[in-house]
Amino acid sequence: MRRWLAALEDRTGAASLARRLLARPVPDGPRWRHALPAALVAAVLVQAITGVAMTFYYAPGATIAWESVLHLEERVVLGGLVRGLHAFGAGAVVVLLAAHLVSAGLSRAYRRPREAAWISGLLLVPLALGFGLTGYLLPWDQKGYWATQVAVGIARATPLVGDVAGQVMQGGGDLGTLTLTRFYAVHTLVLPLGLLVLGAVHVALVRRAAAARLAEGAVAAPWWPGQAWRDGLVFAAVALVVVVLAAARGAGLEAPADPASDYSPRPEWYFAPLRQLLTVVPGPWGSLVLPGGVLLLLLALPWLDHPDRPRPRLARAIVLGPPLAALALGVQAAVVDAGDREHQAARTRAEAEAALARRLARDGVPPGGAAELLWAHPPLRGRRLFQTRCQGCHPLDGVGGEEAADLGPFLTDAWLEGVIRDPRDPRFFGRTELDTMPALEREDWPKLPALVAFLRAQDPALAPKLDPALVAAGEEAYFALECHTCHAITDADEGGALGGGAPSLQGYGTPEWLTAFLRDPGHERFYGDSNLMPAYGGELDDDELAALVVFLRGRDPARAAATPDR
Amino acid sequence: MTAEDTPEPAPEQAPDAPTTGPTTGPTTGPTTEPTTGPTTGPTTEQTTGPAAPDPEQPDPEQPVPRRRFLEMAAVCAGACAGVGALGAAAAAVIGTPLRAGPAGDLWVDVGPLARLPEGQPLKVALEGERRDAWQRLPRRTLGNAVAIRRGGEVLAWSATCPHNGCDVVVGERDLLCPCHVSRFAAADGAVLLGPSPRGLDRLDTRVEDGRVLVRFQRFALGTAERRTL
Repeated sequence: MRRWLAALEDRTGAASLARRLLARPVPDGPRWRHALPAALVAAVLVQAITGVAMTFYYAPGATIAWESVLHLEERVVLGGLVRGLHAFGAGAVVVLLAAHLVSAGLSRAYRRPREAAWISGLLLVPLALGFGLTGYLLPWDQKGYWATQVAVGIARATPLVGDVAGQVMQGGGDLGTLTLTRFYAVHTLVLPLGLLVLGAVHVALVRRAAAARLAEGAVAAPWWPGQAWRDGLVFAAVALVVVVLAAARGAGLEAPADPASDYSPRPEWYFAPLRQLLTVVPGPWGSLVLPGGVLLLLLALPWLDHPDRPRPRLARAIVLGPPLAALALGVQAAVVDAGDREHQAARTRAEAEAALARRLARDGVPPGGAAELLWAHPPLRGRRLFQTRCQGCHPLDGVGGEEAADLGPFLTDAWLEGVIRDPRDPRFFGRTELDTMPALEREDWPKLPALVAFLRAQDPALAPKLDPALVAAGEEAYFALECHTCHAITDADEGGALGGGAPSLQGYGTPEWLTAFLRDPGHERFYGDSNLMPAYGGELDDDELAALVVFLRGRDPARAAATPDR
Repeated sequence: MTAEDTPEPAPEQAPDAPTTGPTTGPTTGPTTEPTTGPTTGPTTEQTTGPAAPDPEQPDPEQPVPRRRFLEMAAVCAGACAGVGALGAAAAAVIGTPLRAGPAGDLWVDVGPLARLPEGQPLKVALEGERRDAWQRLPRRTLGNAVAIRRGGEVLAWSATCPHNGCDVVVGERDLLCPCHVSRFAAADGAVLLGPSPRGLDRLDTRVEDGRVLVRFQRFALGTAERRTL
């Protein structure tokens, strides 16, 4: 063993190198704050390892990026953990970098002979933020897409160079596959190379300055073991937080990027202060001048607080001011978001959409990507069709045209009860010219639940969940009130437009009834000559009609639950 | 601050104390003696056992002090465990797709029987849904088959050369693999010439309602014995 080690030492110098490293003198002796750069290096190493692991699965491209990330999350052993470590590790890097910066600033590590080391370290900050910005887009989910959209917009607002900068970032006029490929190149090649070079320069400069200080007689202690275990402990503490967060929460993956959605974007948390600053100081002042000015002040610190003209108070303000301001802005951003109803509602919608996208994509994704699955998903497609074809006349929960019934709660108990009780209410047919159906007499109101149950029983998908006694009572009431003289309900009735001029309610609310109605509401089975609504049989194909029917039936939670959407 | 002249306490008792030994300069020592064993006192660490806390210099009779040895052994063991865990995790992450076998084995309709010429080998594309990682690709060419009609029956071979997996070409007299010039008999797919370790692989066929169905399968390459994947 000894001989073997001696031989290794003879050929490679490994043992003496290890000893030299262990005995490396740390100026000022072991300190907790000296552990920050070591933990930072270790955290960057974790980013490198998890990052390389993810490149084994990640595929840049607007129709494959999200899908490849989902594959990594759901199909690859430890995939979700690796991604979580990378996401939360990025936050750890930013925190450690900021802590290292503040601690170095407070111990005046920018003073001669360490000016160059200070400046090279400061330049690592924009580099780290660049990693965060580019990495956020790569999953090509809603939050990455929209945060990048906003970031590009901010870049665009820069005077003079803005337009060019935006185009260069996007790789064209729009966010798309070319944006992804260049963000991927920058995130995995350009920035890591930059970090390697700048990091090496920074370490070399720090070492050089340390050697100079030691030569001047500064006290020092070997790295091992006093500093070594401090380094290890600080990194272990950071790693513990990152692992717990990664395992418990994961990196998260929202629905695939949709350029046409009312998403409420927020950047990654460590960008929140910058975003909040923009709401306080809008325009290039907040996006460029203020952050740039802070960076310039920090860069100028070696001369602002020169040993010949010490300005300790100013120096402390410059070092502590930005992180405290960032903290305050970050807290403010969180408070504002928590109180923002619109934003919270958008969050809820985004989470539901993310869950839906993941569910649809689980069985394999078509060549057009998961966005294609979402596009064709009947409830969503039906809603889009409703917006373009129906909402001009039919409002949805009060939003939209006012010529026809509000279909927001269509086919629900409340809606059915309401329409029977008072069809002339503006929510129903009050705004139309249809006025032949009388309102229900007040003394008959107790029959409403039974009548509604009877109408619901027309839909076989709902029948099993209904109370047969109530349905029977409803049927009795239906005939007792002579509804059937206008609205046919059995083959024997002379209802429908043929008899009484009102739609037949046989099979009311079923996909078949709704499809036939949408195809031709003026058919004698429905409104006949009194019809006011356009026919959609020629305009929409079978798939579109089916999607619209799914959407309409989806207004009633019971019906949505009774029929699977695929 | 670090210039306190107290001897170093055992780290497990008071780890906060500075570790500078009073006698050794931080930069001296370790590099000047390349011939000594790698674990001999490069730093200020002492052989402080609880019974003998005193000696300032390592005992020349005992080149590897026990505490120092244990310390280094623990560090090495920790490093090995860390590297091992990292390696195992990396193998698990990177190795995940290895558990999935190649896709295949389904019956494919290749068209009406009447369209196949009697006794003439013909290459037909086998189309179906292909699965690739997370993608579901409808109607892709899964592979080719060479089919021959013999009356009301059809014989078919996988067009994949069993040697290296190239697609064989239907020649005038025989079937030829363009990669390494293996030749196969058109009548039964047997090797006539070349490096292929076995003849072409037969595929199951059946005729239903006048249409030909071929069972798409994939076979191990490069082996003399035939093995489906």
